[in-house]
Amino acid sequence: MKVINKVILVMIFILLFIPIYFMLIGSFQDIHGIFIMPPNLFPKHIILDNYNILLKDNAFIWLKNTIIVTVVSVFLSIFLSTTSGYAFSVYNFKYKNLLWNILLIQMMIPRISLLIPWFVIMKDLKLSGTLTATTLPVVLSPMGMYLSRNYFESIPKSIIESARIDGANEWQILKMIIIPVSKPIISVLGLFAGVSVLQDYVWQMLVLSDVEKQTLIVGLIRQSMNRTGDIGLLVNPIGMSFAAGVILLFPLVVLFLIGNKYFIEGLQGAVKE
Amino acid sequence: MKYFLLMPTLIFFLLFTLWPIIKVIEMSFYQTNFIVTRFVGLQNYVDLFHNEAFIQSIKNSVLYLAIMPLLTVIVSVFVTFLISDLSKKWQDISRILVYIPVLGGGIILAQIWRWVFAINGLMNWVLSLFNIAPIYWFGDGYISITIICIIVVTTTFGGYVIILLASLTSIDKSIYEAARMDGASNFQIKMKIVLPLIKSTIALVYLLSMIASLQVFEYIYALVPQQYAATITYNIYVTGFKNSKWGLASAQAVILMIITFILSYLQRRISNESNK
Repeated sequence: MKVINKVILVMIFILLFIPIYFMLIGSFQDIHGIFIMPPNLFPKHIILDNYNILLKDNAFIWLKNTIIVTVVSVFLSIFLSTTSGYAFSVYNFKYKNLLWNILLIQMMIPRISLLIPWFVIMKDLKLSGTLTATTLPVVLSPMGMYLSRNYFESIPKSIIESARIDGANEWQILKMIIIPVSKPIISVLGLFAGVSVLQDYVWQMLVLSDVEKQTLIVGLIRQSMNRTGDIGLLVNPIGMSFAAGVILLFPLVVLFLIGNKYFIEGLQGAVKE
Repeated sequence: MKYFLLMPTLIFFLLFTLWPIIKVIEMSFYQTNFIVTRFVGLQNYVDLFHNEAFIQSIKNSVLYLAIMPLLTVIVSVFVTFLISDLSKKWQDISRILVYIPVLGGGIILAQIWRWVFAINGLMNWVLSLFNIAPIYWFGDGYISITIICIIVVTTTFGGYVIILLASLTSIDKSIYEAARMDGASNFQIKMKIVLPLIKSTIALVYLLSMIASLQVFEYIYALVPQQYAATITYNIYVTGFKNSKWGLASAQAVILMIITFILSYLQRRISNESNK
């Protein structure tokens, strides 16, 4: 019985990884190699054309833009979630619960309903097509606020109280007590923000039209979907799109494997009731 | 101090959540292509009633809603149970393995499925082994939607498995022992004891998947950019960003917002009732 369960689980994992594996080997094949059936699981003949064509023009700029957008949004997202989460966990003020519920309402709003006004607002502010427009709307994370409030509430209030009695002011409390124990929550928030911005194709695709301003995910996908490009007969769109997928998935997997402990803790923390 | 700490979040909330919500509601009362703008009142909403693409997208969304959340719950609960029987070490490894496809969610893994379901792709080759003629997979609404639902489930259920596994750890182990003493089989324990105990987490998974199924976008965009497979979300994109009918798109966005609110509310009511 137990053995059957394990066999089923292993088969599920194999099924899950089949597409990823085929994407990886397909990205090193020409169009004929990709469509040979039965598929060749261990191709001997490896070509790099898909990557070369995909990366030859703007890859460096896209990489630079991606790094800027990711770093800034991770930083801002951590800043917003920790400051508000801390305020809600430590202080009391009027309409605290009401305000909290209003802030979390964003979880219930479909993304597309925000994308239209974001797009229009960015146009009105003459920010359309800029990295600023890519970054600013996506950094406020209700889930991040929720996680950080939970985290700070787990710090015993008595520690903060006794520091106050000893004459520490609010800044000192923050600096001496709170920040030193906040590394786990900061890692969680940073990982979530990083992953979500690296996966965020739709908003970035809508707001970034200029090739020079695009991020990797927009540039690579657009380049690989552009089947009538100027590259002519050499184009192997499906191979290029596999290569794009591999390039985009790689940093996400690395980020996840580095921080998987924090990441999974964060996901679990999100449902604690 | 507290206002100082709250200020940045409030500013971002006002600028990028509240203002946009008001803006999209306002836009839904106008007809605009950014060159000519005129106030039309409720005309956009009235027009939607005989807008073929919108009605089709509502019908499709109902189909997505019927298939995706149920499939998600079945698959994620099943895999959660399989993983929960493993030793601690293998549970940790399984958590990582099950989550990696989620990282490729959205557009990143979409491309490979174009190959799997291409006319000369993997799926048709598998069928050819059984002497079945190749199928044009994305030529029809029902098949396309079913395939997209399955694909979306493969790239989302991993996150739900992690959430469900977390809720299992809060169950008192002595319950299992007692049941086993009474001679209950592993399967009976899971169905009769564990399942009811994690009911509220399952309800949460169902809700999250429901909201997600209304927002399927990338796979339609990459695999089947056709009206017959479009969700409301995809139709909003086509109406606004492609055809520049921003008022009409905004009206749909407002309707989608209301539908999402109602669904979340109903779902929460039902799960609260059943917990009593």
